Amino acid sequence: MLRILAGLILVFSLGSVSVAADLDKTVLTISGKIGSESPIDLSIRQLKQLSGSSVSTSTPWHDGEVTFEGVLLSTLMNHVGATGQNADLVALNEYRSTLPISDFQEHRPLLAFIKDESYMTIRDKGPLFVIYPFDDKPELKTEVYFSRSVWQVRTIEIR
Amino acid sequence: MRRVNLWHVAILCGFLITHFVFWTYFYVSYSIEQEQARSLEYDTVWSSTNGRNEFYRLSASLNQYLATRTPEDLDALSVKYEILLARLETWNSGNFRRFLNSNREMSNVFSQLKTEVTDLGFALENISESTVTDIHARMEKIASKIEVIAGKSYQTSIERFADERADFQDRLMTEKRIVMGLLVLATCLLAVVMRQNWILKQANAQIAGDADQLSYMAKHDALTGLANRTLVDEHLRQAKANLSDDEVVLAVALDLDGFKAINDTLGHAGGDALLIALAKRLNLFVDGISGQNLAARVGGDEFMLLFWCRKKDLDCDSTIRFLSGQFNAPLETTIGSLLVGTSIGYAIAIERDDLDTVVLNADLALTEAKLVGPGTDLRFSTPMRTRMERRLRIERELPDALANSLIKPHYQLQYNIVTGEPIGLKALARWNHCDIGPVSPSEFIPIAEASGDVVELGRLMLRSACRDVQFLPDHMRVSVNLSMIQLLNDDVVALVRDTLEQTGLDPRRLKLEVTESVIMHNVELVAGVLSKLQAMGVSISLDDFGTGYSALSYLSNFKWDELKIDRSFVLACESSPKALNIINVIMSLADKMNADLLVEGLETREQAKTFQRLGCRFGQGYYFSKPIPVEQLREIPFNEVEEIAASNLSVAAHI
Repeated sequence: MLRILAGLILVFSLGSVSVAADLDKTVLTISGKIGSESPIDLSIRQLKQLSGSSVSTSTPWHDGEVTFEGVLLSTLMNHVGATGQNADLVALNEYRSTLPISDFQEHRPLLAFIKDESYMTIRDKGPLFVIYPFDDKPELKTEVYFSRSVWQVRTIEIR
Repeated sequence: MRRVNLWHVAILCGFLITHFVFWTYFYVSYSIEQEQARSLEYDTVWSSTNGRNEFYRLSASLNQYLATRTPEDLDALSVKYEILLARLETWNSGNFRRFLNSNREMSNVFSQLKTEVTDLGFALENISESTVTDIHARMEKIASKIEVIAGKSYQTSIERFADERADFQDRLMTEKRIVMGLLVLATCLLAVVMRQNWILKQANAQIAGDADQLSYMAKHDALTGLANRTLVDEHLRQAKANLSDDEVVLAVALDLDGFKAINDTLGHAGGDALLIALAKRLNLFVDGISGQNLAARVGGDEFMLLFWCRKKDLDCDSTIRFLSGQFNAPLETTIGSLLVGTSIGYAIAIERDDLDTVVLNADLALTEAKLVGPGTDLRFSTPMRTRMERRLRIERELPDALANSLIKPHYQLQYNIVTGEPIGLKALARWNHCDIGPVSPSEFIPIAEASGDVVELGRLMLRSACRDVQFLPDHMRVSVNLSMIQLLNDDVVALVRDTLEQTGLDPRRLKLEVTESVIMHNVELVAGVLSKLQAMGVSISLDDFGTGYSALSYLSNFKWDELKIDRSFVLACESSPKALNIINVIMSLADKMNADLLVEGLETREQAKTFQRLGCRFGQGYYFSKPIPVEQLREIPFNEVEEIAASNLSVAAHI
């Protein structure tokens, strides 16, 4: 009984250190060829203030269809005044992927932070997850786009 | 051809089916679903590798925290732990879960891993010196399980890849085989097409060959291999287009003398052998003269030689002499040596315009040459043309002349030369043409015979004679010629009967005359017809007796009422005493046959006296009377005529 209680405490305490609940914590840093000299830090709340979008799709990493909400990367790029050709995305787990900026207009990938109406924790591959509309465009179901579907996104550098 | 078509269809079908199979196979084996499945397989390996990395980062973060014990490092450791949890979530769903489900052992390992990672979370919550060893032990166990899963994932992927490579190679082989099959079929198709092409070419060549042969056959005589009239015409057309001023064309028409007799005696095989040998000799002759020359067979025994030479190379007259000299030597034929004579007519074209008529002229010259006699060579001259034109005109106008009674009978009286008493008349056809004057029967009757108008002529003569003789005393008879064509026409008996009935003439007053040549043509038939006429009471007379073969067979086969001695005997008797003996024999023959004997062509008193002395009773000729029209005939007072004639004869007898 004590053990179960302790487990609950642990879950809570670990949850408290996670970013999901804290909407004002910086979750994304954008640098490189953008409108401002210095890198821009963004919180979930700030991201939510941009016009949102959603996509429902299946992915290789989830069971069944999942609905994501967030901001279109194209919208975000406009917001920060990005002028480069490529975006280097780095995740919390050090995973790195380069996305061509042209993808953002062409395939309209989403920088999601809500999955099935809940904010994504790191455990849910949050707080930010790049989602391509795989079901709408089956031709995207290849290694190329799977490798661009970065989860636990932390920074974006525009080059 | 039909079999080839079947082959075609079979191979084409095979080709299409193989194509269909190939493309179906191609589409089925390269489906997009398979591509995607392979992509996801790749993602599984990637995910397991990343999970492994994430675990080692957690491990590094733990060591860092154990070394520093700062809250920042604890935060970092917490994040790393969360990331590992996220990884386990990933592994627990979607594609990776399917991979784990495919292997029960992996599924168990993963369940234990999940429990151990959860437990590690609790352990990390309370890190103290006493729990470090425990935490490290937990980390070791987790590490080994992650390695197992990552390793298995990698291995499965490699195996799958190996399988796929084998599959791919299989597919590649199958594709190669199909392509090979297609190539083989295409080769077969090509072979069949080439074969077809070859067959077509052969057929084409054969058709071309046949056409050449047909063309040759159309222009050459089958028996002798000489050119035929078509080629002669073609040769002339070429000459007409190309004849130059220093060139000349000599056309030679050549005809064998008595070829019909040769055919009759040697048979057609003999005749053919002779023609072949002659053709060979003519070809040699023609080739012996420089120029574009041609030897052609244009009829049964008629040949046409064309010499298209330079003027200085050709001396026409000596060429013709040389040519007729060729026939002095016997021809060597397959049935032996044969000596044969020829008649030759020739004409020369000096200008192109002459070429239109040169062959015709040569033919005309030949016709004239044949009239002259065997072995004659004649060069064309303009009067020949005039004569031919006259003949053509007669031929053309003859039917009209008959229809309009322009041809009428004239009558020559026949006499008892002993008593001088007129006993009958000979009806002779006379044509007084309004433009060209009197036309002799010897001229127009052969033409009428050739054109068939002689039937109408005979009918006219018979009817007129039967009518006109009735103006004369009852004892006088009338003689009318029957031509061959009339006799071969089986209604002559009916014609005579009808004519007699219509004119009311006593059949005993009609005498019908036939020549030797007529009865010789078909003794049985003619004798049959004549017998029927005789049965009607009409007398039958043999005309021109002694000019032909006078064969005893037809003399004895038929009961002649009268024999008419030809005028040639009258002339012969003047000069030859032997002829008189023959006349005696004929008289005796006629006597034995119980036939009358009449002498034709008595023109002088001496002749009349001669035959009177010989004991001939009947005669006709200019000495007694010329042929006269019926109008004049009616004016003769017959009692007086008899007296005059009788006095003439009695005077002659006294001389």
